[in-house]
Amino acid sequence: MTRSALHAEPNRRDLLKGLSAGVAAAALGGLSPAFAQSNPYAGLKGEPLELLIWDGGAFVDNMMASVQAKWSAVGGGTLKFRKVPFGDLDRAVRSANQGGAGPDVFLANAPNVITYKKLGLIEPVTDMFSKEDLEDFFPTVRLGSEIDGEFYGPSTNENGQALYYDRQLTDRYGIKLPETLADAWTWDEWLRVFKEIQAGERKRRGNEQFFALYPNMGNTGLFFSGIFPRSAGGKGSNAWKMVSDDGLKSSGYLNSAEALQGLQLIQDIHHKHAIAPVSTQKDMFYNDQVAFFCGVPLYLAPIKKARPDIDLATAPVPFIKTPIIHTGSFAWLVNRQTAKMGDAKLFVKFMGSPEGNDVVARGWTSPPIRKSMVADRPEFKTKPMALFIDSITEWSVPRPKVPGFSELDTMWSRLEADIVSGGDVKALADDAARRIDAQLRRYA
Amino acid sequence: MPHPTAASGRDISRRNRSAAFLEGWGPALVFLCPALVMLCLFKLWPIAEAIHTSTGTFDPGGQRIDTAGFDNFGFALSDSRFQWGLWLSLAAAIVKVPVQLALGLAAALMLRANTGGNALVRAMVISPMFFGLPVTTFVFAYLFDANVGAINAILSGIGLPRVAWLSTEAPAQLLVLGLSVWRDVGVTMLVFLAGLSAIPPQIAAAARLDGAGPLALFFTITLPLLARSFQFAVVLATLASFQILVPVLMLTKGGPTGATDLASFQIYETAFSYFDLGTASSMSLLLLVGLIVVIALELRWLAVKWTYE
Repeated sequence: MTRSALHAEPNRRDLLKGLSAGVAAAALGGLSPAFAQSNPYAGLKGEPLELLIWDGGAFVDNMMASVQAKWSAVGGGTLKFRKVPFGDLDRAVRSANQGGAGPDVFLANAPNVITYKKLGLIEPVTDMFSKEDLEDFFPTVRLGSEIDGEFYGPSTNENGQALYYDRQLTDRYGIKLPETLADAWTWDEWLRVFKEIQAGERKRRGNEQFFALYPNMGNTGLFFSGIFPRSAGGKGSNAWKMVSDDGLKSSGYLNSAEALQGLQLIQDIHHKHAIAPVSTQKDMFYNDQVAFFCGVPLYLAPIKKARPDIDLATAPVPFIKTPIIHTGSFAWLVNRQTAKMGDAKLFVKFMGSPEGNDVVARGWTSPPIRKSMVADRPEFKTKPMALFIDSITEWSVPRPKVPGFSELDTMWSRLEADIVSGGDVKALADDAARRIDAQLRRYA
Repeated sequence: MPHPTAASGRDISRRNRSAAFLEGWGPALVFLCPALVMLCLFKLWPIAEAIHTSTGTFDPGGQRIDTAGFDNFGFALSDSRFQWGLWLSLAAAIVKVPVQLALGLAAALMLRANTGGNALVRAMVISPMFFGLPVTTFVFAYLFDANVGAINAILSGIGLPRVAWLSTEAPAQLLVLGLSVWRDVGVTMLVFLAGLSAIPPQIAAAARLDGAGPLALFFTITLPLLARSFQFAVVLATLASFQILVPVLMLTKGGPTGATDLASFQIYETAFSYFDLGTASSMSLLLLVGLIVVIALELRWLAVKWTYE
């Protein structure tokens, strides 16, 4: 008893400790309201959320497992995934609420945002992002998801375009290619190089099936090939727009005189100039069967795996009159009928934040959606990948912003295939424009 | 007011009739019930649903927004692309059915003997049915690729020109039909094998005693006695011809320049790429009616008027 009483008596050091603790407690107590206000996920209930995503196998599963871990760390609930094949994603989103409220969040093809808005399927998340957030996004992230002043959801990543090639191959012919957008070449300049390299390599290899360029057509919709007619027009011209401003008419745009020039070039690179294979097998570059591969950053990893020995370089994509590339990827969208609106919107906010976006953008080996995040990705600050960032900031536009984008994309793919097969370009474009208009009219 | 005795007499009579009916049809209905339920659930109901859908207008989200009456039928019939698709489907059937029948019959005749080797080859002929059509189509896409495909490599190796199989009209049509025949010929072979095994061997033996050679035996005995199998195989092959979809969807998407734009593919595209459910349903009903007419004609032409005594 006596010992205890003696030990309970405070000494000078104990007094100092107590004073420090009191000051710290007072400081924390005073700061706690401010701390609560700055918590970006205040109001999160930790409810389980169901996400509609495309089934990308282990690749996407691993990525989403990382998302789950980070989401849980900020207080988010369990994520449940409803997976559909990639080709069924649009159909799944459109019909998501037909049997009652569907998944809480959609991972959808970004150009379809306007369609889903038109069909009343998605909820704006403008209130989830500050002015600084929106300004930090690459401009096309906003352009793609902003409709009538409301922001509907951030993309998963950005997507520049460039030509991948092996510098050892061009060195063999003493050809110096442009490395920056400022030095970018037109198609006429490129065609001379393509022909020279193709002829030289065919002779050297004794193989007539070596081609200069894989333009990445056939199964990518208008992401790559759509820039041919758009590049043929001046900025703001009908060809450049591809569809009318209200997104309901392609006649006079897709088949304008300038656009036809671009469409004709699609045919010519396969037949008249014969520098591109009609094959749609993407692995031709991986197998060293083409010299140049029009691609996005996502291809970096498979190229490095398939051809570790090459001196990988990139060059700006060719243009006819106006430099242009398409960008955009998938977008996180909130189902307008979700019963968990609060958590669903906060999840989308999280996926647009640096920590959330970093997981997905890295998973896709693609540039992030925020300009500030590029600094954390040294590979996109140096050659050869820096060109992708430059193409995003200087050349990129979203794919045509039309309600009914998937219908447009389907019909474009058909038009492109028919042009590549050698059909009459003007007749095909006129017919396609007429049919596209009939579909777009349904959204009027 | 009816007489109570007369009324109860009518009740008894009704009960007797019901009992008699049940006695006659009851067991049959019990046995037929599962099949009838399946028929209603998976055949009649979808057709009724398609008829209902065909009379509606749908928004691009798949919601019915209005009644269209028969407008969708008028639109489909006046669409030059769908007209082309119907003719193309008919042409596909005209080419596919005889080729498939000839190959199936030849395979059945060659493999009819029950030997171990024949069993193995039969299994190989049937095997394309076991693999998923998307898988086999994917393999075909690689095999027949213009630049990196094995078939063109072989053609090139023996000095023949390469063929742009998927981007030239006739080769693309040939490829789609070829893939379809390759997959379905096993079924036809099975039908003919069953038919061949049902022919009493005494008939052939008697014909041989009468001096019939192999050709005479085939044309005067085997072929006529295969008439029922023939009829069945023709109907099956015709149905399959009008349903060709996956090869078009995965290989050509209706191209090049509409060369493989079959009606079945157009229906799929209208419903699931353009989300125009009303038009797609009316197109499928028109195709169904056309198919019924074609099959009715086939059944009439191939009607069997004999029976084994």
